[in-house]
Amino acid sequence: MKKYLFLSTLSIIILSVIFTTQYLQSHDGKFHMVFCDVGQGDSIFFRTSAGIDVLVDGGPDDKVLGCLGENLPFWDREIDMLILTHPHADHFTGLTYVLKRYKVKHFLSTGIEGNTEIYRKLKDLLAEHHVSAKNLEAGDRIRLGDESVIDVLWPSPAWIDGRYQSMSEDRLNESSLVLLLKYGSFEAMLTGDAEDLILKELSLSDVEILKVPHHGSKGALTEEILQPLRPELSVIMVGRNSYGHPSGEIIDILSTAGVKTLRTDLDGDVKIETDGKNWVVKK
Amino acid sequence: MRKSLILIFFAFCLVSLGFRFYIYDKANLKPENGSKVAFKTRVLSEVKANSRIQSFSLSFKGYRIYVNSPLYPQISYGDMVMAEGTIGYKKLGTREIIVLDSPKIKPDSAQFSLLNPIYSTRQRLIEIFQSYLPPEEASLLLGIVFGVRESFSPQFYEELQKAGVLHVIAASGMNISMLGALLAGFFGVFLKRQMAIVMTCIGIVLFAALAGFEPSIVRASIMGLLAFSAQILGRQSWALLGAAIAGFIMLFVSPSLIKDIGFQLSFTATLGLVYIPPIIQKAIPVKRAPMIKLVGEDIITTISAQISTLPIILANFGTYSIWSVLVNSIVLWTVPLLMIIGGVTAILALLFEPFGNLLYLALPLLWYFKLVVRFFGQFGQLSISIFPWQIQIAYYSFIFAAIVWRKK
Repeated sequence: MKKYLFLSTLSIIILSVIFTTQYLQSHDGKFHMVFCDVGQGDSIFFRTSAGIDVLVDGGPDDKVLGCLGENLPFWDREIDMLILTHPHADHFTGLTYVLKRYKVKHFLSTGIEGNTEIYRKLKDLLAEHHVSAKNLEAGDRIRLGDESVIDVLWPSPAWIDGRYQSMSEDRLNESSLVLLLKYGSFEAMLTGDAEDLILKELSLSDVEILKVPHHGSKGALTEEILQPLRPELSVIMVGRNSYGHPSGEIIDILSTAGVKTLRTDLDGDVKIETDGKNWVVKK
Repeated sequence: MRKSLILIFFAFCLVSLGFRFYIYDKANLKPENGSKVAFKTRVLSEVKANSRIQSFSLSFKGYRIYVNSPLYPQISYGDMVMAEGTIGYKKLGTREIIVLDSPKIKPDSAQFSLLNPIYSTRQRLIEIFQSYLPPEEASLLLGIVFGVRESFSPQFYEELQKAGVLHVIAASGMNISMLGALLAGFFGVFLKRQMAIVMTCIGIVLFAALAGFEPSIVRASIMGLLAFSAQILGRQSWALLGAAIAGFIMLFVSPSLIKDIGFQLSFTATLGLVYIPPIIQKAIPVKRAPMIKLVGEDIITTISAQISTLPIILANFGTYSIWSVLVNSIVLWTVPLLMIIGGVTAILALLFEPFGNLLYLALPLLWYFKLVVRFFGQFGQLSISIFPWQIQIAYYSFIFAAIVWRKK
């Protein structure tokens, strides 16, 4: 009996210590961003200084759950917003697991649908959990409580109107949302799988962080694109694959331009913390 | 007099079991490679899904058939299904498994079953645990308390295997004896003794259904039912008889179970836990210092289970976790505590969901468990490519000799 009393007391003490540290960490008034190592796929989680949780893409399987578990306080089972850049399985399969385990409030996408079975499953789960869905297009701005905003740069309404009907599975990458995340003077550009072809249509400006498009695929980036962006850090989200991602060419372009590059397959989760002026990569 | 009665009973069981095997063998029910089959069955295995397929196994003529089917129609645990396809044989490591090629699986929802509420309760419990605890912690607790395994991520599952503690997520004897004690205590307060025993037995059967009728849980349930109905809980001399009766019933109903690894492991481990600790204590007199006492029992338990199951594990998986004795001796003490917290919370939360908050009490223990598993799970395992059956026989003869030696 004494043993159990001791263990329960110890357990409650540990619980409250961890509760306090996690609470303070998650309410530190800073903007946290994590490029989750989900293997070959994309999944980016961020929590704004106002405590709003956003997940952009969910990766190819349930690995995203591990990343969320580590970066959310243990009692937090709510995600305010899921954003799907485009309906390819390596970007949304993980969202099906997230929908089963977390209470999700909003689902944002281009509205362009996939025609695979797993996409149907995603739609079923969204309906089942009564998640409100909205479509995004270039020019939209999402306000996240405080000074954090997401600007949608792509796809443009005209492009969606023109291409919507004739969208084939392998061209879905071109429909990928391109998002510019801003908090104070900190800016991060999330490109999904939209490659050079699309990016050169956009008016680009100086950013701090660039998510390298399409897992660093050949032709994803050019020097011309990098010129106006001038990122200080680029992140390649990639895992074991048979496509040759990331291509040596892209890595060369980045290193020639003097951009520091982190890769999820080599560096694991890439965590960024910013107060809106300065930012650091957390170990 | 009594002894000879038991002997006659044993002989009778053996003969009838032999007869059953004879009939079974003669009918040669093993599905033929390439044959087309269509059958109706209930899905009594975990259903795992990835982005392309859902995988589960079905029971067909007493054989386990593995199926990878498209994501739709969605199949879940406990569903009655119509299955069609072609039988195929596949090598999986050193084992050969039966698969259903080009499967067509249709759920037959019209089928009414008394067990349906059990299956929905199971689903509800998974949801409750997952909505309060982080993903891996929830899977671990669900595994420990109910033997639910479908929610494990492949990586975490592999880490558990490498650390040598995979057995804690299979519901078995400990779950049943704790549940039995809990129910007997609860019903004993306001019911007559006989009635309380009947209710406890019903509870055990319902739990076995909830945990998924795996061989380990069926074995433990039968032994538990015998123990509770005869009020002989805790008497070790009955373990052999109980195990023998459980084995008899299971093999009589489904002879092909004899080749099931879960079945083999469950029985060898059970007998090992009863007969090997006295040998260890006789061979190595452990000093009863308080520190040793704290984990000493867990070490002996682990070693006993390992000694009795080692040949089966090596022959079937070809790997052995070198850390398992160490890992088990430092984590096993958390298992009964987690069972109590998880089990009691589950019952309360089914009645009133906010009780689910009590699950947070399990978190420190789960963190500790995960930390240890994660640390040892990164190291390798011992691998063996072949393990001949002659050595297995020699091995078990030696153990048998040791048991006899101890009795002298």
